[in-house]
Amino acid sequence: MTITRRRFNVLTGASALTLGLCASAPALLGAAKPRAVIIGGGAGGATAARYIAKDSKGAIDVTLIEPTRRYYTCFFSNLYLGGFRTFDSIGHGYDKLATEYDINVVHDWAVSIDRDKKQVVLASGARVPYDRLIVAPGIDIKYDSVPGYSVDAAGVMPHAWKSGTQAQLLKAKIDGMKEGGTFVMVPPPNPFRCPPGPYERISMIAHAFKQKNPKAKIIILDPKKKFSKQGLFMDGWQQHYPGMIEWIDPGSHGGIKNVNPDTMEIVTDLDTFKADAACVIPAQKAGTIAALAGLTDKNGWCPIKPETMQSSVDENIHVIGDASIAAAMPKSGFSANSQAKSAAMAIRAALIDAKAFPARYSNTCWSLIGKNDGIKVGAKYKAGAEKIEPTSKFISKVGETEDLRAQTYEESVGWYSGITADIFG
Amino acid sequence: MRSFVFITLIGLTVMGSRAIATEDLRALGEYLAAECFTCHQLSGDHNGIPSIIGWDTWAFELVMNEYRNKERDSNVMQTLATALSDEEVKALAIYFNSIKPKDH
Repeated sequence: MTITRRRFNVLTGASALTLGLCASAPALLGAAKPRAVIIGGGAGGATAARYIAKDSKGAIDVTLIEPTRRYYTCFFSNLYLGGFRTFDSIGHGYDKLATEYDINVVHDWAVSIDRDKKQVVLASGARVPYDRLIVAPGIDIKYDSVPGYSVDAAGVMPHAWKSGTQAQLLKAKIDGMKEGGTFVMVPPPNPFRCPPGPYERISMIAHAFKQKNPKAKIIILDPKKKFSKQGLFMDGWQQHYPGMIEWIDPGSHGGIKNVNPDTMEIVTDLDTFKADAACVIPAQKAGTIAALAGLTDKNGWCPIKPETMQSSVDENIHVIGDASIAAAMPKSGFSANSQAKSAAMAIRAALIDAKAFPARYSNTCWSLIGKNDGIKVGAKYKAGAEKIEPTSKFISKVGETEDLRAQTYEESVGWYSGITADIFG
Repeated sequence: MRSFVFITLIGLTVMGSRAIATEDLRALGEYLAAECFTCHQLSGDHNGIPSIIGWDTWAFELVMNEYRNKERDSNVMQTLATALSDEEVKALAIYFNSIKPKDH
């Protein structure tokens, strides 16, 4: 509001001084503002939209295209499964971005990008022109990467690797599992969204079972030989949930051969596991719009220029968050939020000649193992010539005091409030 | 009389350049602060991560230097602080001092 009034005063002041040059005023007022369009209203896209709008003070037209009206964060969705958060508390609306930041929030699907005409095509058929585009679609699931898995199977063995209804379904499966039953998880192969996520999820499911179904068992059939914060998780599982969790590496199960949602069987090379409830998280790829626009490489992710997050194939497009190949930076909400700020700065520099400072990248991933037992891993990065490179890192240690673990959990709660305010205003 | 004018002029020039430098530092601080806002809230609200809004510049610099020297615990803050130069710490101090907590 104040911005609008100030800009109005500046304009009227100018007109008063140059009454004789009135003819030039309409041209000035009618001059089209440069346009930034953002596809995807998650941790990357919504942050970028907010920073472009906030820092350009109305000089850039910002349009955010996001199909859902309420965004449920993937981060902290595990805490919802464990009973530490309500579903409501991980949901966020776009009202502030629209009303306080003057961002045009369009609830529609972006179905293609006409890179020659610099337009985004919506499912409704409308076209949205851009001068600079940010593509932040997050991930899509590669259903066929797990034999037997499908969109239909996700209704029985939820992946819940996109939050919202899938997370609610998984919670219903956990809470409804028969007493003393077996829960099976198939985690994804690298690279995937939120490297410690599947293991925090196991911790939170175990926590839920400990309260209401203490004889339940959890089996993890991992396609990977090792995983993020492995020592910390395994130590925590031993302490909080002794005898409940069995992690089986690919050397021991021989590989996932088939999952069957009808019989609830998960067949590996060496054994068949019968589940009473299951979570199958397939391999992932950049959100499909990125591939449709020709922004992905042969592995399904988008190569970028480290300093600006510009696509390696189109300088008018920036790709941020999980869809991008940010090298050492993990696919996390924190990383996406960090990358969004570099892209937003580069776009302001390109469109309104704002000052561009060097890109700064950082990440921290907090995980909760049990009540008041938080751990974290993080790093600072720099934009190298070819890729984003780590400059220093840290990780929690096995055997830390209860106080420190409780403090780490508390810190993660503060971070959730901070980052969601930074994303959604 | 002449020397008085001369001294005044020097004084004004020095003051002028200082003012510009502070403004530049604030802009630098605003850019650097984007990294802080992933955890610390612009509104001054806080639950688990302290507010850093409206601090005195000396206090801000003192705490940041303690993190840089690893005299104050927090692996997150030590990692971030050691990546900052003296000038960048000063710039952040000026920026955060310049914003006030939101009224509730």
